[in-house]
Amino acid sequence: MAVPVADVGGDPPELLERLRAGDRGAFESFVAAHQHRVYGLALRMLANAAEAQDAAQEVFLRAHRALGEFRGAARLSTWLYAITSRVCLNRLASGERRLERRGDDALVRFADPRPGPDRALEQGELEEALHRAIAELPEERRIVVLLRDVEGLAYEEIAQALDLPIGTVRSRLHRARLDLKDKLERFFP
Amino acid sequence: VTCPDVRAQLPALVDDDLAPSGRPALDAHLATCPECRHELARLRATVAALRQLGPARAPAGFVDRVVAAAFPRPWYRRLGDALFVPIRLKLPLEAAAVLLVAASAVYLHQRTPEVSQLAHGVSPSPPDVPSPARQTARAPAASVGRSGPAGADELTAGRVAGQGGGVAPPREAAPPARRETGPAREVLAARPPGDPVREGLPAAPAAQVPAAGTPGDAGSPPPSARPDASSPGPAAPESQASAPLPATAKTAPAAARPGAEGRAAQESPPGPGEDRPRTGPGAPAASAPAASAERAAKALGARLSRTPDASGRLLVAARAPAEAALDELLPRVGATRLSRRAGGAGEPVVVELLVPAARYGELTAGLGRIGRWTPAREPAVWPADVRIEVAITDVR
Repeated sequence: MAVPVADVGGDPPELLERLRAGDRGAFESFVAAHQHRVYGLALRMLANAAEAQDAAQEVFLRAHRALGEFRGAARLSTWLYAITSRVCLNRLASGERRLERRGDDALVRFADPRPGPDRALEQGELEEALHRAIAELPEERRIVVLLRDVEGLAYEEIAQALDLPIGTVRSRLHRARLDLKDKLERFFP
Repeated sequence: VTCPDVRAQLPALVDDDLAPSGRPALDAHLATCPECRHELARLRATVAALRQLGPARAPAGFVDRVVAAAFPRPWYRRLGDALFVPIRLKLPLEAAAVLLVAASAVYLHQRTPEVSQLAHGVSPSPPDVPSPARQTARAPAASVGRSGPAGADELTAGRVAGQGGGVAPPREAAPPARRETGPAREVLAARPPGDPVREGLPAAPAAQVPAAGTPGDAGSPPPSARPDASSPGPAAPESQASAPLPATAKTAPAAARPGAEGRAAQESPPGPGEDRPRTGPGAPAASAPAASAERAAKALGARLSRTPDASGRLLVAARAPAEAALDELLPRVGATRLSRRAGGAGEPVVVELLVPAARYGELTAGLGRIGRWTPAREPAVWPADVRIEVAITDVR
């Protein structure tokens, strides 16, 4: 049975209990509530839809195995971002993945739910340039700017998820923003 | 405060993440430096574009795949699904496959003699009633020749008797003659324990009788030898064992047509009192039971054999006294009368005798004293017990 998952203001204790107990319905609700965030972060980190799907599945399976040890110190979403970040960075760090990335400049087009053909045309080019610019960022900056400016995590949450000092998070975020600004110069003259 | 210092703090300014102490100096510089304001505007536009990125959506069915991977179905359910899902398609296919295999097995069993023999040999249960076609096919093998490997024939006889289950004549004729020695017993003992042939031995008197009848002739073929061990059909030997003696005598001349002979023997109904060899009125009543059993065994062996080994004509003055004299002669030379077939007027009386080969000369000498003995045929290779057909003819 599906259980609504509230992500604001903490996770429902009942849901956490059921997840820890291995309840299938609770896990299904949990995956349904977080699938787009996890997949989106993986997709923007890996820039490959198939690999992002594999990574997202791996994230949830790791979470499923580790749910019994989740004590609720962070929000479930933050915990999931932490797992996602590790999975993606591990994949990016693998030698095989690095070789594949050479010459793989095909950027994934993200679905734009906003209606209006004019707006789509207007935003399409900017988004494509933005995705390309994100993909060109160093991985350690990319994950920080994505967690902060796309996913909306606080500095402390990012530091917790990436297990980094908050000063490191700041510096990486600032460098990433400045890099992106420079790469998008023609859109913002 | 210089422009590079200000521009380094612009990213933090976007998040309003500056220390309160540094904020007035930064604001004062931005108020006087249009280039730094422009840079701040570009940075804010970039961050705004990042925050306005459309949400990526996981592919359809992602939740189901993840949940299925996290909660794998038990192996027996997966096996069941693999075997029977979709059941409307797989169940009929599997049923058809089972039927095909079964039909192939039956076909192979029926069309391959080796498989059929193996199945019968291994199975302790008696075989099914043979069809007429199988009887016809087996009858020639059952009645061809008399000499051959003793072990195979005796084994076959034992198996036949065991399968016949309660073949009355041999059991009644020779219970005392059951011995644990003899060629058949030796050969059977060499078989492994559990072998159906060996297991069936105690219940197979017909197998022991021929062996017991020639205890000293190990290695020589008994009269009951059926040399064709490769065709151990139960039909013909069984019919022989249960067929009355007259039937055997009657079919003896037809030995050249063994197939017809086998059928004739099987079709002959057993008559009362005909299931044991006749010893004749002159047989010694005082002979020991063992000797009687041996004789019965010889008679059975001879009966299982179709063609007489020797034949001849005994010309006498009168048939009745001659037959009486013959009955007196037989026990003296260790011979046994197997059958008697009375001819019509002017036709000879045909008497079938069984005599040990060593005493064949004594028998013919005795016949010469009863009348004029003219041998018509004698065997090239002498069996241990010779079956003679004597045609008693009077001179008139």
